[in-house]
Amino acid sequence: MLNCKDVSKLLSESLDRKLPFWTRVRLWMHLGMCRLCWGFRRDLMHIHRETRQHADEIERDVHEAEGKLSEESRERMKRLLAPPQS
Amino acid sequence: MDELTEPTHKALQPITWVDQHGDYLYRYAVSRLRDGEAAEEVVQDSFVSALRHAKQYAGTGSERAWLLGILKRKIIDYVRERNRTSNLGDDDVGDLSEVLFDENGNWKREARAPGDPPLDALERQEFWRILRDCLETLPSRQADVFVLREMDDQNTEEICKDLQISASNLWVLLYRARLRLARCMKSRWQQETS
Ligand SMILES: [Zn+2]
Repeated sequence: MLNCKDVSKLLSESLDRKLPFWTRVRLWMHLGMCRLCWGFRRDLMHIHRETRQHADEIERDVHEAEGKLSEESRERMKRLLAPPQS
Repeated sequence: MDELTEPTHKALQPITWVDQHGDYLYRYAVSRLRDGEAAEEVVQDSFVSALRHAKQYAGTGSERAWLLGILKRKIIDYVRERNRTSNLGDDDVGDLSEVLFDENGNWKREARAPGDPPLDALERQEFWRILRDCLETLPSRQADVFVLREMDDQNTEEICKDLQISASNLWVLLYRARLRLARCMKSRWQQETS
């Protein structure tokens, strides 16, 4: 029998590799009986989906106000990008 | 929008990059690196590198997308560099599984909160605010692999190659990161609502 610690590990690994068939069977058997692991899986999957699907739009919209280059580095970069004086 | 309507073949305008794309690239870099100074550094490196390789710009995609592609590469270089100096031992500190499970591998009593609202009940903006806070509390290497894997959707082989770690090493790091994040987000949320 898998214990909850094993299951939490396998749930995470299942997001990164295909688990062997019998491992998956044992995983689902445990999940069918264990409310706590089921709850953990739900949170894990939500974090997984949300971060993949919305990371970029969040950078654009929500954090618009916070992130700005400092004036100093802005000037420095502009100097670096200016066409050479002839 | 206007990027789409522009003529497909156009010259780059390096002099306008800072005003046009600087803050966008900076925000992107901060979200991945969680460090303002590091973000400024990679943005500057990207501009310099873009200028040097301007001839390689095919002129078919938008200028911004092209610069973002260069920035992504610079971010990975930066992450690799900063993880080279941290040793793996640090990550054991971040292994919550020792705390959350008893000797038989069952969830400990304090890990069981009946009536825990699931994280998917969080509103999107709340979710991201809490996620961001919690990412900061992770050991830096764990946070780095999480960002590369989940936010950037890189495949595991690439990450292993970039960070020069084995696949099983990566799985362990990702497991610790996810476990810690899930716990942190949950308790942060409970604190706020109670
Ligand atoms: Zn369980």
